[in-house]
Amino acid sequence: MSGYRLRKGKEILFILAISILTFVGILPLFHIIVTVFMNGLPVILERGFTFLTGTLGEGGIGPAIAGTFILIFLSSLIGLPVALLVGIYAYEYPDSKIGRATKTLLQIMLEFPTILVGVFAMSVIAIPMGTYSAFAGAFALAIILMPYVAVYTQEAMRQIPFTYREASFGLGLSRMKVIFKILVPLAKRGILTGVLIGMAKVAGETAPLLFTAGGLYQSYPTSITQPVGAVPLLIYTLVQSPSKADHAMAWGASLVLLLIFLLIFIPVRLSLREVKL
Amino acid sequence: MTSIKTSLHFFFSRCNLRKSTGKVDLFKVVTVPAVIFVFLLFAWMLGIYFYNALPAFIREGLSIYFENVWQAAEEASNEYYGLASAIWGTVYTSLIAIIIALPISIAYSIFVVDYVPKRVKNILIIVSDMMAGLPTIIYGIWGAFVLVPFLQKYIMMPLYKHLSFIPIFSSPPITGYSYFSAGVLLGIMVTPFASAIIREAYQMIPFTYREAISSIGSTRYEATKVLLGYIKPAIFSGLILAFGRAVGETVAVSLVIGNTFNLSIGLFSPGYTISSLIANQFGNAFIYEHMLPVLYAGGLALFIIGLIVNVSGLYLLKRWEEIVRI
Amino acid sequence: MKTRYAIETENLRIYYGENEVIKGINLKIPQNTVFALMGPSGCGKSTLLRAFNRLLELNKDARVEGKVMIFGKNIYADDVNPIDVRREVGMVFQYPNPFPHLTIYDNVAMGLKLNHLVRNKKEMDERVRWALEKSSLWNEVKDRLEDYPSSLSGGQKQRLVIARALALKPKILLMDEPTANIDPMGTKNIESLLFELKKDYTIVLVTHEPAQAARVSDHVGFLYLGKLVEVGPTREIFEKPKHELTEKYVTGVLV
Repeated sequence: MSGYRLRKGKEILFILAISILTFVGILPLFHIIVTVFMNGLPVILERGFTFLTGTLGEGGIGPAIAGTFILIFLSSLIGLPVALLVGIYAYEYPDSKIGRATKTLLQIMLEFPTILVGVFAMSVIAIPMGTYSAFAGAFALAIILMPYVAVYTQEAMRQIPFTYREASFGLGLSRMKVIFKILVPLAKRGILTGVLIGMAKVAGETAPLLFTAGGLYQSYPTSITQPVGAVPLLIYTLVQSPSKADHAMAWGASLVLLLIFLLIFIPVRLSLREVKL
Repeated sequence: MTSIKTSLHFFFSRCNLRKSTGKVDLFKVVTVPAVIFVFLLFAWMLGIYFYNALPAFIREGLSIYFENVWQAAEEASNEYYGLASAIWGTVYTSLIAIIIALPISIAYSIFVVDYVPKRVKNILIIVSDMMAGLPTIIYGIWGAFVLVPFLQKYIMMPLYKHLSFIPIFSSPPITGYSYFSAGVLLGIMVTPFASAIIREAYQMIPFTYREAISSIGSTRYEATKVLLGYIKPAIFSGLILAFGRAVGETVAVSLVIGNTFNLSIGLFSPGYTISSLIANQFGNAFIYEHMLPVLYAGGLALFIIGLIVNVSGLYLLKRWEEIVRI
Repeated sequence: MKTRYAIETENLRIYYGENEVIKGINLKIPQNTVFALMGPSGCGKSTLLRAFNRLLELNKDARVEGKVMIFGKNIYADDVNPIDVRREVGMVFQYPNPFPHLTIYDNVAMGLKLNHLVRNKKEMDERVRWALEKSSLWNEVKDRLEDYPSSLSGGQKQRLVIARALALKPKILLMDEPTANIDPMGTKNIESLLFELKKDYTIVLVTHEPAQAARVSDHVGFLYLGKLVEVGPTREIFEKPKHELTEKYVTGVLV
């Protein structure tokens, strides 16, 4: 009987160990959220609305927020069409050599170091243009956005029951029409989820913007061929400054970024449970 | 130019744009160019790195990867650079990261799949996904202002005080910005990625297998050990992919690693990683004549390390999935 | 040349990979009749049906040898576009599958619109109404054409699918166990519909219920393990089956 006791004892220790480790694993998220709130909220409350709309000189991050939105919009414009087409191709030809190579390439690009994408965009866009610009930054972000949307699109299409494929082809429609007029609309929800997740990811990226966007915080951006700021980029700059005031600003901006992220991420992630056909 | 032509020709002849009736398949006409574009883009990226790194290879040869030196000088001919410190830092910090990620991701996966009711499970999974998607700069600012002081005071200092005879604890943690801090932060950041893969694999172990193990009267602990053995390749794969992620991380690392050209095994010394070096020095590089190609050479190394790591991780996972899903 | 047969196969063989699923079938299906294909499950009925509108090609492992003649023309000839075939031969499926994201109206209209079969909205409205009337669904949905199919019962959904197919004015209608997933009332409705439809169309009906074949068909073929064991007028087959296997099947001994 004591042999069994020993085994049971090990079991209890085991459960204890894995619960502690799990707790340790998820603790940082909560600590980070709490810290960002605790350090950032006072700064925002102190300056009120100016924090969100004012320029850096006025104590606000308005131009950075504007820049982030411009970059999200522009990079989607550049990246979404390609992403959707590639994702649809990968869905339609999963077994061909090219189809499988495409899927592998997408997986590789998903994990690709984002700083390398940024430096690439710098070489091929910013340097020839002679200036940092929103366009260069958006180009880098589009490259990062593309694999996310493509993979989600392919997955969403794969979820469509085969019977709808049969029904649409059965009506004597060409592949082009079956896919774009019937199947893609059927997969709308899943595709949209992918787009939103891609956008959320790209909104929080810093490294690709380091040598492409340039940064613009004293005034609002007016042209896409001129430098532009972004919230993550601003935070990165402020954290490295020796001034305490800048650090406080960085916390405030971090809170804004965190809220933007949570606001997009949580609804999208929750709705994933409901994607059904 | 001709090689591009021949490869395009090869590509198109493989790719049947026409249906059996001879009419053009509009679908392919619309989607294939997008696919080609993506492949070309990736090749272009690789090409740019090679092309721009070339001057460095010509000037200093491959020793550029093995020497730790960073001599920027006004007199161009006196410039001399070596990337060893950065390469070391990248590998060292990523190793620390996966050493941390290993136990936590496994524990998390077991806990979530075996021990927790459905509701809590969903919440835990969402939490993990959030950690995977959280903007890295937020990890960075938290790392720089919160994690580093904490680690320095409660872990690094005590370890240094009492155990500095052990080589890895032998460097003084003056500021706290170090390989160790970077490794811990990276560990926190990449654990969700390893967890996702391991959790999925653990969950998909066929029920009959689990039944078989329970039927021979094992405790849950013993059963779990056996099941983990079953998914060992997936665990490997998850860690390799986590390593790949860690290797590529830039802003969070550059804010906590101290950005110093060291080549030390001391956990508490500051250092560089390839990505933080690029982030940190690129601004400088335009002033000096020979620095830029060296940074591209570093980028090339990162490109290739990342590629090898990710491809092997993916390959391992796929191979295991095929074997297991008979 | 006018032929008597809507569908005629010549040594038709179908393979899934290495597996020969349909083993050399010679079938003649007369026009304007209901032809039932019956047999135990898994013996290839659905596969055979899909050879008649070349929907089999959606499965990459499937391979077809031999000829299938629709009104005298071999649809597997090299110069034939499967898309054209599918406009002449409509299909109804085992699980009622109206497109869930389209309204009832759009479900019927989609095929018309994308195939450019009507010239304006007025023609489209007329055709949609005609198709829904033909499938006995018009009275039940005429006031809610903008509703979605999810609000319909199983039997109604299937009639919507029939309308969707009929809208293209095919000459042949293929039905793959259309009442397998429908309640008895809905089944009765659809079976009576068949009596009406066969005046204008040739219907090939796959069924897993010999009783259904006996009720609705004019001709019946018994498919067993990929071979056509017996074929002929329904009364003959059910009252005086020539083959032992056929007798076993229709009496319920063989399932």
